[in-house]
Amino acid sequence: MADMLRFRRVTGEYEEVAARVDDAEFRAGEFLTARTVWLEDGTPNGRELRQHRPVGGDRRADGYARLDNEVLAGRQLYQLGDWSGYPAELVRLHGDESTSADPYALLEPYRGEPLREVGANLFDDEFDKFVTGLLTGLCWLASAGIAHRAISPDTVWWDSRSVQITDFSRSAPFGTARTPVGGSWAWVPWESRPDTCYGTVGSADDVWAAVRLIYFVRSRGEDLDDLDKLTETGLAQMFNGLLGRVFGPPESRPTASDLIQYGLRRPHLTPSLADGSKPLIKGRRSFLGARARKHPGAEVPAEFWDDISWTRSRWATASPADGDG
Amino acid sequence: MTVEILPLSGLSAAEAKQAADALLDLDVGPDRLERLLVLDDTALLDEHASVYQHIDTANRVEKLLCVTVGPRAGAARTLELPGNLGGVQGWPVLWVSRPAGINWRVAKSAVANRHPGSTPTALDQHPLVKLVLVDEMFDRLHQKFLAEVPGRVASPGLWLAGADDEAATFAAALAVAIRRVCEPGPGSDGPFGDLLPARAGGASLSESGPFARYLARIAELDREASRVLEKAGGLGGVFKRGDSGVQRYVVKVGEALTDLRDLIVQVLRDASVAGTGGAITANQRDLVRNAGLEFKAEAGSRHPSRTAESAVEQSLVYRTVARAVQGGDSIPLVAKRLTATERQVTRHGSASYLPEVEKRCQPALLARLADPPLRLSRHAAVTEARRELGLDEASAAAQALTDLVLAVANREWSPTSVTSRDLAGSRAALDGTRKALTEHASMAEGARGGARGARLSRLGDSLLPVLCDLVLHAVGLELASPSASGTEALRAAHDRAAGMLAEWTRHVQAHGVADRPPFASSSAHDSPHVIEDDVAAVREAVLYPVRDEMWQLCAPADLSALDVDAPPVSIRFASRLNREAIIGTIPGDEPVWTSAGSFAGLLRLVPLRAGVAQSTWGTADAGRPAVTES
Repeated sequence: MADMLRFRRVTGEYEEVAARVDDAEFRAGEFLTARTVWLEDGTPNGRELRQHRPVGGDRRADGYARLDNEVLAGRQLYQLGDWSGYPAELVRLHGDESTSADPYALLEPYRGEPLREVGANLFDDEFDKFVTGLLTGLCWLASAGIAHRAISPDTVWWDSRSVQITDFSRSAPFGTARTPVGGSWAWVPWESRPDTCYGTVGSADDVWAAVRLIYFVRSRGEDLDDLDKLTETGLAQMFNGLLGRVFGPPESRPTASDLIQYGLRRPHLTPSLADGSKPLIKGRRSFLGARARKHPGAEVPAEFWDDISWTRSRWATASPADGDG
Repeated sequence: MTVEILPLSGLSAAEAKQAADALLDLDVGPDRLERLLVLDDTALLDEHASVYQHIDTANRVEKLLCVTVGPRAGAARTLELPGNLGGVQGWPVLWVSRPAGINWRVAKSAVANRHPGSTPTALDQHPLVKLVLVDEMFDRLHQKFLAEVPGRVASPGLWLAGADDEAATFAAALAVAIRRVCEPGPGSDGPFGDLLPARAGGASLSESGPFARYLARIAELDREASRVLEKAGGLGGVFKRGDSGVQRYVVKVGEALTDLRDLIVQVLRDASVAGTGGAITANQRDLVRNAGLEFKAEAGSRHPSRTAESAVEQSLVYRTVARAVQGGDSIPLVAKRLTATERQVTRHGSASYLPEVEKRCQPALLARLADPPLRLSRHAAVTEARRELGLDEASAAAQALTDLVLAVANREWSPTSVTSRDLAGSRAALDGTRKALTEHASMAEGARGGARGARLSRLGDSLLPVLCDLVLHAVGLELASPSASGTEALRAAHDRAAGMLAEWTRHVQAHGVADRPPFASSSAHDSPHVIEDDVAAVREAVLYPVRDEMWQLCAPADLSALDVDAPPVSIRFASRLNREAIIGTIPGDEPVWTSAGSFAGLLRLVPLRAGVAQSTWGTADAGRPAVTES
């Protein structure tokens, strides 16, 4: 029997549509459950989506908070591009219902399987795609100003061709104070652990767990318990020594973009925004040029490029101002 | 089991017909009705007569047995049956006048004693019915009734011992074996030595190639230099004069060493493949061969006519994994060793070894050799003079360069070396297989089939060789047709293993646990190990004297209907699992070896006295003339 679902699409407009619902529920991260729905929206056989809802019982309030994070992240990520340009590395929000007592988020089905299940068995060529896909996904996240804060073999999926980062229920925007993240310490950086939590969320927060995840896949399912193993498995060499800083404080940690550009040395893999970023860089470069003509020798403010997170790095030999943007 | 049940007990004639119709219907009923067991009440047989006629005329049922429950009606001395039951033509009838039965021996003067224990209230849970539901028992009963029971009606008696249910015991023992194979066990988790490049690569210097020629020249010049030094040093081996012409040889040693080093540098650079998984091109292979390296031919390549599968079985990876698995290493351990091996076979490109050339043959040494001292220390011994001239270092450098080029050849260029793709594929196949096995074992959790822990453990041991075959078959299939991705390899192995488990279970059901499933290799045959303790009770039950006191499913008042003078018909039965252990010790008819059910023992059929059972046509069918048959 079809239910009627009324929700706000991620594009902003409201939609009321009949939906078939599979009552079988499964876990969707902490404090959320999911079930499959098929929207009768004209898609042949219905559009298959996952409906995420807060759990019942004592932890329902936590479920609301997690759902909020998921919805806010999904809406923010939508800004990265229209539907055709949306990055494949990130799970996609279809819409949400956040106003009733029984709120939910509608997400596109995850692709593949969690790396917990398949991560130990990637072939060499897959490993390369996985590494670049994961880092590219984190670059996209950074460009939206969001940290995932729960990167792990359970939240990152693999479908033989590409990575998909799922479960944004613990995500937070850059600049907000870090809140403690529970769960296995193997996947939570010390600046986010309950006893040592400090500072604000930033673009390097996810890199700590991401590199551990890269090791997890490279070592065929082992947790990183000794940094020397990064050398034994060839990862230290692969990233040209940049990984040494990953496990230090977040302030001196490389970003995902740094790891691509100065670790892997494949800057062409760094994603770029479809619009906005390039003209911005071009405009600022032209501004700097004009200022230099007027005021020769004037210094460029330290934070001048900071909002364009992946095009400027403390490991870079050149700033965007030197390149073509 | 293929026996279908038609429960008519307590049903009115209309309800009984409806139930029979549903069963007999070609569209909604079972595809085949080879064996039909009808459960009925003695008091309702007459009312259900038309149902039995309907079953007959439907032409759907191959064999039918009727279990009718309850005493003879009222004070009647006869057991009234529909025409289709009993007599010389009707279906056989097991008359259970009292389901709880009595303890009784077949003798005229025997009295009824209480049978201890409780009896299930639901008839389909009664031990007799459970026994008859086993295909083999149904068939033997049917055959015995038709051949040996006068009037085809008898009172059943049972002597039972708990025994292994073959199907459930197999499932439980397989779960034990799976745990043994899938749980991480003890053992070295280091790489497989046989798969490492040094052993698998098979590289050597060809005798007439440039590498060997340079080395030979270095050695020859070195010998010549030593000879000159010895000559100049006199019998005591002390070098007294500075200029003996040895410098000429030293310079030539340096030139030959430089040539060797330059050749190695060129080959390392030009035969390098970027990335981790690439193979060298034909041109690069020629370059390597022309430089004077050769590789031991791959064993399998000498037999091009072999099938893909047997070629896989000859492959080094398969043979190594097979040795480990058959030697008792668990799947997780073998997987871990494959990962450790993979780390050591990963190719980095031969150019990555160029810095090593500089270390092994330092420019300073070549410079020294190119410009040897014109005068050597006075009174220097030959050994000291060699050292002073750099000849020993040159010799060591030549050896070090040779070792390097062979190591690089084994790891980076050898066509016989193990590839990391093969290792990763094998590991994925093992992981996928393990997943399917553990899923299967968890479904069998709790099933024991009546067998004790120690016996299950022994049975599990006996299944291990075939289980190892299953694991290796999955690995072999992956190596024979490699998957495009690790995920695909994982899934394929999982599905293949699950398929083989289902096939094995079906095979055991059809042929017994001792029979090998098709995927098992010819060498994997180990009959379930049975010890006397396991089968003593079963043997005793099967050998129980047929006329002795046992559980007779008859009411005391109906004992008078039984023909105690006629020899009772006996059917001995035991699980097929115990066949090997007891087959030679049972006299008379071969027992029924059951593929399911957890009973062993004896079923006796005591026929009725002549005239007691009366099969009658017509009371329910007014149009049919009444005929009585006894």
